[in-house]
Amino acid sequence: MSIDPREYSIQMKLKDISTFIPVMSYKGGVGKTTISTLLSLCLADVGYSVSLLDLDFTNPCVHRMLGIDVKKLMPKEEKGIFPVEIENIGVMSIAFFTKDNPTPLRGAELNDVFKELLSITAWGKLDFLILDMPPGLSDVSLDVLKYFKRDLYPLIVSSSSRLAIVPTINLFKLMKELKLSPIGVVINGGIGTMSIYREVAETYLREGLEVIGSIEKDEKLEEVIGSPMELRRTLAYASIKKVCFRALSTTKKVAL
Amino acid sequence: MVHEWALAESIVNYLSLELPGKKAEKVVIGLGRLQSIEQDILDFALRELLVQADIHVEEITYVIIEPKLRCRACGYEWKILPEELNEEIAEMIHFVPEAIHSFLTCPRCGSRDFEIEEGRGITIVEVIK
Repeated sequence: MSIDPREYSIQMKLKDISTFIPVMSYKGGVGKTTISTLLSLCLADVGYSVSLLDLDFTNPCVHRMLGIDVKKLMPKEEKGIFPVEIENIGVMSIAFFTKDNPTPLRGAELNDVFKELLSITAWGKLDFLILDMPPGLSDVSLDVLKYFKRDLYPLIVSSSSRLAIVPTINLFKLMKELKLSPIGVVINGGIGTMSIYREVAETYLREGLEVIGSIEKDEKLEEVIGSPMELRRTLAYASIKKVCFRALSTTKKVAL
Repeated sequence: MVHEWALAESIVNYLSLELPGKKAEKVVIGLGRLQSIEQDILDFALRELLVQADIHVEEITYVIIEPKLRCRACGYEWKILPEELNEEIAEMIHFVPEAIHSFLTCPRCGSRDFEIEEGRGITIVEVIK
């Protein structure tokens, strides 16, 4: 007999969180971290209590978007660990412990990190926990579906690229098979070309996917990574507001 | 109280759900040394939480499991003790043992693709009802 007790704490730790939004894509490099971070900032700016969990354990980037120096900062410890507070968002990431060093992990190890972080993090009472997901539907994504059993509303991110079309449709189909209600698809115009944006959006509509917004290409965005104040002044942040209100509507926090 | 409390909570949550009658003669906890769990603190937290959960356990014992690593690239096996590590690295591993991949490589081939075969963290080894 050898039992892993951590699994028995995960639900308890999540019990005071109203809504979970995993920001997902089947394909990598479409802007999940950007959208997760901007959505978190937007929800916090509207007045909701929000935390952001970076689940991309082998390539965590949320801390870089928000300008958190993981070499200096550590989560506070008190009967568990607390997310690091910045700009009214609680942030939890493996990067606080790996200190931005390369961290190759296989499936079982990803599962262990997931269980460790989720069983010791004290989230407190939250309106939203935003999950910045790794690409695809493998270990960590499957763990989210296993352990986050209620109030789970995926947000699917696509680039404005033909390469993203089939993976996005497949991800949407999988969500439906799992009886989940995705908030919808956001097309990131910053990745790919806007010239085929219409083709991508129309294909999604034909396939029954709901496009709830797009992120405008914003040359300035790259320059302000690491500065939450400046991030709020970007076209990308302005674009995410529509997505934010749609998320609020879908998760029944407000009526549009 | 440090994060041993959260680990104790996991054990008590397991016992709350899986222990009929909320009574056990003995619970054996495995402590992997890699995570440097403070046994005294864990034990204190566990006893406090058991009282709060109204679970009666006659005896709690601990089995210390030495860490054993194995390189997946070259097959080399080696042992490591937390006290041999830099204090900051040991602290990171204390919170998330997989952080070891960020700081250590295989002593023979230099790969970071190794596994923690034994002695990672907390397990429930045995519950005698």
